[in-house]
Amino acid sequence: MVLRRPVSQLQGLALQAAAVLFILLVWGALTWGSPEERVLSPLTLPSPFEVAGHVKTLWFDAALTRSTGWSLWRILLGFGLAALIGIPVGIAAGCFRAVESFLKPVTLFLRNVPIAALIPLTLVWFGLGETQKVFFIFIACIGFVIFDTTRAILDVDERYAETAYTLGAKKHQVIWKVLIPLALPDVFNSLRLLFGLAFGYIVLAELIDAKFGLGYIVQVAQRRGPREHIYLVLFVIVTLAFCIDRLLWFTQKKLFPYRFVEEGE
Amino acid sequence: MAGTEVPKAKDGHPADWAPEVVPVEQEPHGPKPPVVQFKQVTKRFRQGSQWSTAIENVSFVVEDLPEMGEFITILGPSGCGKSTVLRLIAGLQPQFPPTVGEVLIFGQPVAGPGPDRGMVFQDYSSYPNRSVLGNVEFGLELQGMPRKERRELARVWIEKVGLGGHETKYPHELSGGMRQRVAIARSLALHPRIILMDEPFGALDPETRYSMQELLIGLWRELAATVFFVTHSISEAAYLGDRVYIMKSGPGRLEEEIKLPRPDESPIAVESRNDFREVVALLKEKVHGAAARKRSETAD
Repeated sequence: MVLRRPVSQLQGLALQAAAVLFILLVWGALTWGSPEERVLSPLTLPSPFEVAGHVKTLWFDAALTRSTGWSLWRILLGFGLAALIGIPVGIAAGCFRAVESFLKPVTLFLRNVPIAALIPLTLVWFGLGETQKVFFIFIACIGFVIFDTTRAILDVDERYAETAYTLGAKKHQVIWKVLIPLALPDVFNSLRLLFGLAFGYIVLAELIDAKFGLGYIVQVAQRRGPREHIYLVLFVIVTLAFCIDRLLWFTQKKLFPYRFVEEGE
Repeated sequence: MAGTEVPKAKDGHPADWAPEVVPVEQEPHGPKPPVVQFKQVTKRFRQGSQWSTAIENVSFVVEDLPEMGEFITILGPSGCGKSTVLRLIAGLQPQFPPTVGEVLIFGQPVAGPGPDRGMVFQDYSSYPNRSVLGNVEFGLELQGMPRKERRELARVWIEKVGLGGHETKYPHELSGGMRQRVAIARSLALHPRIILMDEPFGALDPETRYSMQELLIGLWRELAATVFFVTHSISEAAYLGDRVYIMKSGPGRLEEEIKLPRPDESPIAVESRNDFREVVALLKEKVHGAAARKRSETAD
């Protein structure tokens, strides 16, 4: 095998399928047979068949779609708010470095604070209920949105601004017609990645006092069972996050086609 | 060979293409204010606790020739301050403002960049998020020209630089030469009196380079603008320039210029002429002599 050489698409798919098969086989082997003779007891790890058998109860009894809807809605609100405030602030910080310096302590704090530690704090501030969950997502994301947007503005090559100046552009025109449009692809990309993170955060927030939500299902299943739901919800979350990520990625490709080509000569 | 000696063509008869090596014109003598005047311009940069001098005491004058502009090419070793001179005329930071001295455009000190001084760079020259049309009309858009009007004008310029039919393409779909055509059209659409070009053809292959040189000369004749053209290619400087400024490094200075007759042949045809080769040889000695002198200075 040549070092660092990519495998063919077919080989890649085959290897990935092999990995899934391998995991299922190990899982199946560990949970094979009647409950008494298994390597791992069904309480620790249910068999793949038992997990698959609970799709119906998850869907109907645990109201999967409603909970998924709630989780998405909370992310959308918290994340949307973070984007709505973070993007303009980040643009201002990228254009005017004094703003960046002024905000630095705050963004540095928000990007480095352990997210889980914010949960008790948001509970103190916003109580139980929806506001707390939305603001938890907001606080968890806003620092990253500001920082990444600032970077995106700063990463626009100075040549583009200089060219605009020699074409008679005023400062505000350079901001609106050069820096923002050229930074937008990077901003979109960072939002896409952050959305994936936000998905993880919402489950965390929903583990504590939620009436619906994917995190809520996990928490109920852990306390009252069936445990199979935990595995299914994890699978649902990963699948959903992956699908949304792909969707955003294709949107990105459509919106900024020039960012997805090899430099042609 | 002494620098000021006029070379003779190899085939015996005196070269009709005689370069004239003279000290750089420093004082204006026309009744009108010169297009560009550098008055003892020095630019220093602070690097940590050290100061480095990009150019020192550079003075020159480019007169306003009615109904025609001059084509000035600037040659010199790396780090001699060629780009600094260009960016000082353009009014671009951090080279602008000068540490000492004055840069005058039509008698007025430069206050900052403006559309009267168009600039074409070597890279990142066209906006990747705009089509060819969007790029070419960009300057006009910045001036607040109504959409319909500026589109029309942009199309005229796209035609002039030979990009007709490519209006809706994006820069990533164009070759390097085509992208430079876009940048030239965008800049010239504003009818600048001064055109600044910082190695615009530096990244192009020789054939594209030749065709770009011919295109540029054609457009320049039509516009009657004054062009400052920085290049590393000696034959390019010789072919394009009415005058070639020779800059020296350590620190950047400008002492000599070489006046050249304008060829009426294509750049390829000219390269096989003996007298052109003589000019190139002379320029080469001027430039590399400058580099060699720098080496001996540092050795002292």
